[in-house]
Amino acid sequence: MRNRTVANAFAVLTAFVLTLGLVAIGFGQAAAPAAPAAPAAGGGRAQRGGAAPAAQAAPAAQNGATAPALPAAPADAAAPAAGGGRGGGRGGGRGGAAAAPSAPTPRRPDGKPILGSMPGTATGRWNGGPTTLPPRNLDEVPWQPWARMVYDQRQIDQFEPHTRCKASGAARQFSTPYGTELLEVPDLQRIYIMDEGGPHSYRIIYMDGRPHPKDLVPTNYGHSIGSWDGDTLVVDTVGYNEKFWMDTRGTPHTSQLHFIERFTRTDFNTLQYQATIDDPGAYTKPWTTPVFSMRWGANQDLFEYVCQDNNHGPELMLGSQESVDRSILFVP
Amino acid sequence: MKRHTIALLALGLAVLAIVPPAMAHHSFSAEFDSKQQVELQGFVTKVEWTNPHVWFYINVTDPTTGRTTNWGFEMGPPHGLQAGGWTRETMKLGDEVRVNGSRAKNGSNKVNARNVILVKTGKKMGAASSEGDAATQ
Amino acid sequence: MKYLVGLFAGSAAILVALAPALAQHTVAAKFDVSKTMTLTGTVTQIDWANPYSHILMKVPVANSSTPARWAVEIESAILLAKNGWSQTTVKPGDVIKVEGPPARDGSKQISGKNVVLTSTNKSVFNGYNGTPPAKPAVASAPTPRWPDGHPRLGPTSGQTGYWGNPSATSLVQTGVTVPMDAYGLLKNIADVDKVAPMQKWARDVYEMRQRTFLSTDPMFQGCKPPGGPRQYQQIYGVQFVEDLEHKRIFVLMGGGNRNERIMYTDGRKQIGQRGGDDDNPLYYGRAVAKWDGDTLVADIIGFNEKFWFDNGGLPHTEKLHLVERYTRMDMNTMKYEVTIDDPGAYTKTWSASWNLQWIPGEEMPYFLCQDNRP
Repeated sequence: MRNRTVANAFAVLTAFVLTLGLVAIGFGQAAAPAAPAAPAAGGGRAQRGGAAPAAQAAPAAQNGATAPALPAAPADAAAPAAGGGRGGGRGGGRGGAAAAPSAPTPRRPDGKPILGSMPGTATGRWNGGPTTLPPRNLDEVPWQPWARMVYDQRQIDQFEPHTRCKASGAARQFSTPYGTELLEVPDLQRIYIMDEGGPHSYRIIYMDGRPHPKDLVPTNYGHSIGSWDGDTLVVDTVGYNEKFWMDTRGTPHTSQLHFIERFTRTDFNTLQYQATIDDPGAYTKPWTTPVFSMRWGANQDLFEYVCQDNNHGPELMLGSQESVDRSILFVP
Repeated sequence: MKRHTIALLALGLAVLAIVPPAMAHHSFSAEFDSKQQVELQGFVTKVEWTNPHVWFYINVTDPTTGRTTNWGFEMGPPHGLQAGGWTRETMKLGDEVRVNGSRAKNGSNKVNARNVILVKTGKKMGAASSEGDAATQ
Repeated sequence: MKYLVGLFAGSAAILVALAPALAQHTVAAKFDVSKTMTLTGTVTQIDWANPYSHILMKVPVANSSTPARWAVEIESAILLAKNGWSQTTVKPGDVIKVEGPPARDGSKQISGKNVVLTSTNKSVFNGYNGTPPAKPAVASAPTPRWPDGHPRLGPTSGQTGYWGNPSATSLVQTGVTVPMDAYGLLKNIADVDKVAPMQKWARDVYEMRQRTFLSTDPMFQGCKPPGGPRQYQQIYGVQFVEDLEHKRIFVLMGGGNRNERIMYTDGRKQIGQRGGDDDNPLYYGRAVAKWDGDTLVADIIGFNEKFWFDNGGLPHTEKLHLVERYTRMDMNTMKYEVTIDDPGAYTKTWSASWNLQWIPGEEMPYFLCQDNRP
């Protein structure tokens, strides 16, 4: 009897220590593929309630009568994470230990990686974008004092423009539970990044070698030009306005932001993402984020999502205030 | 065997506990106050099966005063609810439900629902609440 | 009735002066176009945005040291820029004189029909200075085609451009001519019955929307999407992106909140994806399309009723079934034909048709109707 009690206590203690350890990791932002922290960093839905939305639509069979005429990409079946979905979604010890290696990076005839859905197959989306751009230790970011103050205030207020249906550039468009679709259009020499959630809008990355124009009108998504550095797509963006937050936590930026992103599809199911923030209006020097990993969600069509449909956010959002003055002098 | 099972269970719980609760959802805590927990029972007057969140409304009658007030409840988005077994028909106008959740910070009769119990069948369903998520918009 | 007719006559006159100011709403929806005010004051701020830019100004108040704060509604930032405005054309501190109709609800808002910079006595804004933005001269050319012979709906390879300048901006059944302004506001309310073969309830709703100057428009009120034919009535146009690798055609919207919708050409059924939009009725419906010779024929069902499918406020129901025909007549002309089959609102199937013009070398203007909202 006593032995069993001791054994039980030991098991509970072990579990407790493990929990502490895992929770500690969970606060980290970086999601190296093996890290159990992936769900937190990913910005996807809490795993508590079930698999991430990425997973639930994964099996083609779920579409039933709507099965698209295009076949699932053959590589999808090779990766258990895609088929079951849940393992990949949790990213925890469970799924990671069981998953076989994913299929390799798909490529075009000229060898360039395919960042979106393979030609001739059902379309999919990238899920689990970064929640917040700075590393876990915020002091590593070269904040100007005003920027750090604004960041700290935003953690309390949380008046995020994205919640009010505002198009949000930089990394924010990757951070909804619905993912984004990278649509490569070789004929037009451009890549579209389609929001699924949020404003359900799109961003254009020009791949034709053009420079940024001189007389840019600042926009929410900026002007993006892309080029290949080996297997990494480097996207250079300027021309942002200040009407959005770069990430869900409100890491500040100004209209001087020069945002450089690196997208690398390391295998069929993984898109690594890293950004450099060069904004002399908010930071004392350029800084680079940790590497984030987005997960491929196979057989996921873009579906209609209209933020303005029934959004009570604007009327409910108080943040840390007791009331918020919503009066504006004019209605649009 | 039992020790093994308990350890596994504990590990399972540990995995579930990875969601860092301190990193509150951006628009959840901007809109709702987890310290103001409410539980209300009443009859459904409207269901809005919409993005970004499904909303439903019930009439609640105060047993002492007899006064009826209308309350609104925010749940998750349609597709998140479907993962939890909901359909658009799960809750119908006139159904009696019991709901618990966090009240709106602005003092209005609006609540972020955590669970919904369909009184007729006793079935309890999660509301795919955005509390605890990193981002749901 | 006479008063209402007078109101409409007045509004027609004002709108001619502002034409083709095809922005978010007809001026009459918000401003009392039967009255004109003149205000002189000092600019405090320019809000350079969409759907409308505003000049905020302080106007002295007689017998008070506290000036009144007024908002002057002018045009969208995009249209202003096309007419040579910039954010600094009028600056804080400038004294301006503004003429225009005041807001109906009594708030301190005025529609800036004419804005004069007092220091130079020059009119800096007068509708569009009377003339629409210059369109680039475009040489005609045959319809561009893909290697398989189908017409290209977008630019030629590596180029850009968009479809704008619609030749009609509200629905009227083919074969009927009804005078209305660019927003779809009837010049003569008695013409209600001519516009389309409406059932009685639909006709009454349409008349009510017209009599209230289209002010109940969900796109104006809440930035709801321009579903159905309405997206082709917008001055900021549309772009088609043909994703041949995945048998889809994207329609990118210049109006509304810069959304996209998809027309599938892979032969699928018009059913939503589980875990996606399921069986929800949609703003943009569910569209499938296929080629019929040189015409792309799209079939759309699955609409909800939370939007207007026409600038002029013609009603529709969830039974709406649209058949759209897109024919690129030549490089510069897209003929759009639409058949409206809605047994919930109309007594029979009816059609309308208009053209869009190719605007080469430019992206669609960057317009977000959500820009100026709280």
